Amino acid sequence: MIGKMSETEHSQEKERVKQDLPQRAILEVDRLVKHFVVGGRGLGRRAETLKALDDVSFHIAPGETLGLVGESGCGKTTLGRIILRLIESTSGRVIFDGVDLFDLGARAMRALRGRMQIIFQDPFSSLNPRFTVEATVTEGMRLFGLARGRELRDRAADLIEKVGLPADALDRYPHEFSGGQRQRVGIARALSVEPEFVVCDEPVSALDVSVQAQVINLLIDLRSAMGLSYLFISHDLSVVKHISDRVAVMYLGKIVEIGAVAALFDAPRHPYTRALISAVPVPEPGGRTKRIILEGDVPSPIDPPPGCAFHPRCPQAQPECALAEPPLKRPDDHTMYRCIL
Amino acid sequence: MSTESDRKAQPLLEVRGLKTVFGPPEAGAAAVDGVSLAIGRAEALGLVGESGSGKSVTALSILRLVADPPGKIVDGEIFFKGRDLLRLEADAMRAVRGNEIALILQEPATALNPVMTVGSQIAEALRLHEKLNRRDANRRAVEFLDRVGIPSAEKTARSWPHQLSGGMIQRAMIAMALSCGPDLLIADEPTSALDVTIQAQILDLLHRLRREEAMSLLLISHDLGVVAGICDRVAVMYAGEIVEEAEKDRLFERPGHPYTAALLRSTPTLRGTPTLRGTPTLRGTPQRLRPIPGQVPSPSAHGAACRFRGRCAKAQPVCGEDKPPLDELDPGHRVACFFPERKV
Repeated sequence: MIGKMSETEHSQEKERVKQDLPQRAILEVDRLVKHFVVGGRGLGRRAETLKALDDVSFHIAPGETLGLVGESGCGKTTLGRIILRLIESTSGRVIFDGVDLFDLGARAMRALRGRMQIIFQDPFSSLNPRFTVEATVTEGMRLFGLARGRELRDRAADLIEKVGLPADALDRYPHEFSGGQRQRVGIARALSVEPEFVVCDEPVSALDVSVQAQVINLLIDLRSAMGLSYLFISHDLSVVKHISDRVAVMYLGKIVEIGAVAALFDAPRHPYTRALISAVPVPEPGGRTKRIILEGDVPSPIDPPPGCAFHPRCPQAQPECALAEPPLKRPDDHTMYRCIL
Repeated sequence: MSTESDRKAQPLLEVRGLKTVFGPPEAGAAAVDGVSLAIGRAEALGLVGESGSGKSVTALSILRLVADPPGKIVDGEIFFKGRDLLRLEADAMRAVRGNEIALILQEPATALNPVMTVGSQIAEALRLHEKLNRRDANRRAVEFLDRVGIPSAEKTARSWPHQLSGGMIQRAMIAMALSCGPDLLIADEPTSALDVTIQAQILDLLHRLRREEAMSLLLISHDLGVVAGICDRVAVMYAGEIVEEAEKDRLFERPGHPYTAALLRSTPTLRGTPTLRGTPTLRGTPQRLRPIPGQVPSPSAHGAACRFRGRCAKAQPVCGEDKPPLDELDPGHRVACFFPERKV
């Protein structure tokens, strides 16, 4: 299959990880594939395969933030959840700090979960409405045996202060808080077990602009204070640009481009990245003048177009784009893209 | 008011002192509190604000679609082509809706009737409003679907809503809104549920159609960027009030209200390049944003005072004692602040 990394490419990838990073990657995602079976069961209903993730590989260095952007249905959320083994993959590997997660049994995996956490998009459904903030924040510490008794409350109080909530928040319930404050509770919960790696799945998408900026700043500050690595999933390119070191762009289950944030936004290499950037409305006088407007909708991942999945919407598509998957190109150590151009 | 002088002699729509209250009469909270705005013929006004600022309730109030109870329009006038909509009989108001003022909403998935084909829903509107027969109405429905850029319009007209993507449904909604040739289109967050590449398509479409039809547009959005693309003027709402109104370019270049300025500063944009930080070249520099501290006050906390004062860096004692009027800073630029931002 064209587009899949050969063994040599794979060893180059490993070499690369060694070269450009002082330490080894905290997270390595290797040729991840996820198929969902949809439909079927009933009379005459045919089961179909939805390719949510197709040959996804990347790594995240300690202390690094990798932004992951793409439109709805491209597989970003699935990817975040597979990394934490909240759903199982079809094939591929996820290596966290040298350990292949898919080899672990349930008990070993549970032990590792304390080092990898997730912050969810919806601050309303992701908190237990019957738990006080203290109960929410201390549950993980108790489960992982990080603290007990009096110390639990002290550490919860520290965390609450760290995420910018008032001290009296500990005894209150989620419904007493605004969306932004609830998201801070979700962040405190994720950080309570002292993780090294956090998947942030659209953490600010449900928030108003003025509050969104507060939470982004908080995530930036906590990252440097606690030495965290983030996989920061978002559909909002402006937010991703502000928080990320490197950015990966997904389209229909594939990563079509990865690059350092400055390079990717200044000189995007993949036509989809270019279109995505140019489609963002800018709050400036006159708005934007030169825009690439893509035609049509994102095709269904159940029956993706042959060859390059983007070719039916690509302004620069060539006849051969429909025939074969474009090669994976690595113009330099930090950059990868899949396009014949 | 002097602002009216340089506007087109008679605005198409003029809202004066609109107040819409939710909840019991004695303890109700004003979601919209004394809003005045005007839209000229063929003009596009953007109405921006965060959730709960009263943008949508303003739109629904104009069409008298606020559910009563719990909502009630308790004060104000809404002049549309010289008539006060708030004084119209129910029948006359029904004739205004759809025919003269059309509305498109945010949630494309719930906007269409799931058990009617797309074409028949548009045709239904045409038969009701334009008194067309079934055949002509169906034919016109296909024409409109074609005009809003729906590929193979005839086939789409026979499709069910669930067979269409969000972007296609929003196009169909726009086709339906345009089918009766309204003078004013109110679009309430028309692209908020859509992906960014689809949003670009829909905004482009609205922009084109507005010009072709010489139609007025009230575009409601929380996204300053969306409004920047297609509006002539922009009004900013905060906690139920309009705090600033200006020509679009003026507003983005020289916002007068501290809230508008802070909102623009706190919005992450693609402008500017994050610089690569020494070695290793891999690292970007996370750019801290400049958020607005605190939160929008709850309606019960209002009083005769500036509602932004608790979050405002420039607040003075007077801001808590008196309500700043929406005064002209310069011709066509109104700001409700005792200490408006001056030229930098």
